[in-house]
Amino acid sequence: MKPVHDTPTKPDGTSPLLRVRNLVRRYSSGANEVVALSELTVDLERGHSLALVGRSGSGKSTLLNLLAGLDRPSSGSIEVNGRDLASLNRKELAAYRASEVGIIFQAFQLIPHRTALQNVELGLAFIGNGRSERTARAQAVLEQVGLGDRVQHKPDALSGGEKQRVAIARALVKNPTLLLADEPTGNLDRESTADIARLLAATRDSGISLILVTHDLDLAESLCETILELEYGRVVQRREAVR
Amino acid sequence: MSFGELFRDALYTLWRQKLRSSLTIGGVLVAIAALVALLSFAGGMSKNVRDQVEKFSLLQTMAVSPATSDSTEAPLDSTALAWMTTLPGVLQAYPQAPFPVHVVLGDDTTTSDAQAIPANSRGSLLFSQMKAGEVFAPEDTNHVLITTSLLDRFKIEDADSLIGQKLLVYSEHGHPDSGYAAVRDTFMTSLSGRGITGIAEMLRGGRMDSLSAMMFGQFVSAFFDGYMNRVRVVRDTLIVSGVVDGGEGWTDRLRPVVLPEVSARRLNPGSFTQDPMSLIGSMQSGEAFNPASMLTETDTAERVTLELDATADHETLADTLRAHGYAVQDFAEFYAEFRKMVVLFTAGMSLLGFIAMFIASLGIVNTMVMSILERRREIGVLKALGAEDKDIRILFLVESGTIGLVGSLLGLLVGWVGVEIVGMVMQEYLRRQGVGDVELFYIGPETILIAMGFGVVVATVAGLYPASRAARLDPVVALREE
Ligand SMILES: Nc1ncnc2c1ncn2[C@@H]1O[C@H](COP(=O)(O)OP(=O)(O)OP(=O)(O)O)[C@@H](O)[C@H]1O
Ligand SMILES: [Mg+2]
Repeated sequence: MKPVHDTPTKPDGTSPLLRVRNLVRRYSSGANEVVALSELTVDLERGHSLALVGRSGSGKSTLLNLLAGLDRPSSGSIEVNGRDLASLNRKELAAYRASEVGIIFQAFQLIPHRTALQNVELGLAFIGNGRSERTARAQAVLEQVGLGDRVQHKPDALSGGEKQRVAIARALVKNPTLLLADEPTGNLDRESTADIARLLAATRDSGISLILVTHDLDLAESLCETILELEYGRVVQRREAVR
Repeated sequence: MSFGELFRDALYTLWRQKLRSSLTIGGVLVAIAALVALLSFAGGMSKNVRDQVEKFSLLQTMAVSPATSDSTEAPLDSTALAWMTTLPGVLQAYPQAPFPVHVVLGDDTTTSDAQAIPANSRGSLLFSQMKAGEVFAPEDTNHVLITTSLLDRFKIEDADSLIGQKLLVYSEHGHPDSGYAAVRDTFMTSLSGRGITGIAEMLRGGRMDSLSAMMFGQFVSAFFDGYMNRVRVVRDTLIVSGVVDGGEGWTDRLRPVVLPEVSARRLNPGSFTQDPMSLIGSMQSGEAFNPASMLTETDTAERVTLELDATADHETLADTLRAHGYAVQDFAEFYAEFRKMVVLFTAGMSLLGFIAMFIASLGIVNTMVMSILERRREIGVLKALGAEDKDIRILFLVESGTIGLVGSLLGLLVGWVGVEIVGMVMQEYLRRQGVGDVELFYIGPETILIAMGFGVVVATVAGLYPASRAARLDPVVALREE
């Protein structure tokens, strides 16, 4: 006997990793009100990948921040692994960020005065591993992303592509279930973009769900099964990538 | 992250901003150095007194003296002493009846005070601080005890070298013979000065009255002049049996020269010599010509040291003595008062340190606010990586606490070195002024604890506001910033 859910369940009985329902995020600055996300509904299966495309200001980053637990919606719900983020307090939300989500930014967001290794170690700093374990895991992930020989370099001494690889390593070191990438190749040249694309593909193949915000349709098509186009905070188009 | 890592990170952050950190730490350093100096001064004061109290077992003694200058009201005579020893808790009562003497040691002569050794005082607290030799036996009449203060007077360092040496003690005092001699001289000079004709004229003019008045006046003044010339000298050569620390200032309880009773009787010119009127009284009673007869040391004791047993009720005892017209210096009471004063003094000093530290903490607040403004993106990243508000707050509290810790450590060091230097200079100055070794400053463990704790706590408190601002930072806003 299988439990009866009002939500669509897959044949194997698992609920989707991510269930977003009627998500609204309004910003009010003075008298003006900006609706960055408006009644957005989307699901993401475990191990699947989703690309978010759309014009600047369409609400992509807003959505990503909400999914990352960095921001709270005005209304609607986000369920991750069957758990409503709205029900989490600040502490629990921090724990969710610490253990379940990895985030990559366009601007890398590495800490300039720390080495590559220390930056990656920070990805484990709030989970409760011991120092030596953190170092070992960070070292291993840096080797995975091809930076085994640059661990003691500070971000200033690294190229853009290398910085983003460090950032990816930092997001992956905690072994997240969900990887959120906000225009990860936005600041990179073609070659570095290809490097990052390879890394993200390998990540996806390892079973980590990916949500990728990008302006690069080729990248979106090559990495993601589903591509959502946003406009004014709504999904205006949804299509499956041609593989 | 563990506390050790947070601390290491904080040190590293401070290291990255060397100029800013050193200025802020400098503020703490000055405040803590000042606090250490002030506290160590209070500490030195309190330690000196505590050492004295312990050294002389002052809490087991009490000093009694007449409450008023009129000692007839409550005289410290042998009756009074006997009565005092009957009071509960009193073991012994030792009188101190000092008189001036000259002391010759080798080629050096000095003027000092002497007293008779109180009866039964051998082995008492009075002699608890023997520096060399021993107390002479009661029946021993040719030995003398001297105190370290006399040693200082002769500029002798090695107390042991004095044991067995000869000490010449002498006193000069007036004697009626010298008075009569002076009268004779004056009278003759006066008569011869005026000449026979002058006297004849006075006699002829029937002015016998004025003559006799003049002559009587001259007689009296000449007598006292001659009397006070102190022509009579009594001397005694004694062998030094021991050197004792008799205390100084408020701990003083032994005069520099402690004589066998026989010597004291011979050498003490008697209190009446200071007061011509009492001389006349004693002349009438015939005592003036036998001064030693009235010289038991208890007769005119200036001060009595009571030795108490451990169970003595100081308060009751002091009350009883005061009710009988004595002034009582209870060291236990004094010490309790003193300690209260030290606490107040320390509190006052700490207030000054607090003001300095308050100013320093403004610098810390400024530094922390700057540091946080510069690291908004870092804070955003940490939150995105799962840092709780609490983690961010602790991060910056540890940073400001580290400023306090480093500043306090350096301040402690600077304060310590400064106090050592000032102490050495002052010591040298005091030595030249003839004051013995005094430890002016004392940095005890509690001073270190207070200074360190104070620096770290105030610095951490100064970080509270910046740190909670950092903790409240919205990561979305922080990460969007360029
Ligand atoms: N803190 C804020 N206050 C007010 N309005 C905001 C705030 N953050 C975002 N917005 C608005 O919300 C809308 C969506 O912004 P968002 O950053 O999500 O767009 P985006 O799709 O990520 O654009 P881009 O491709 O340029 O990154 C925009 O109109 C933006 O101006
Ligand atoms: Mg964006």
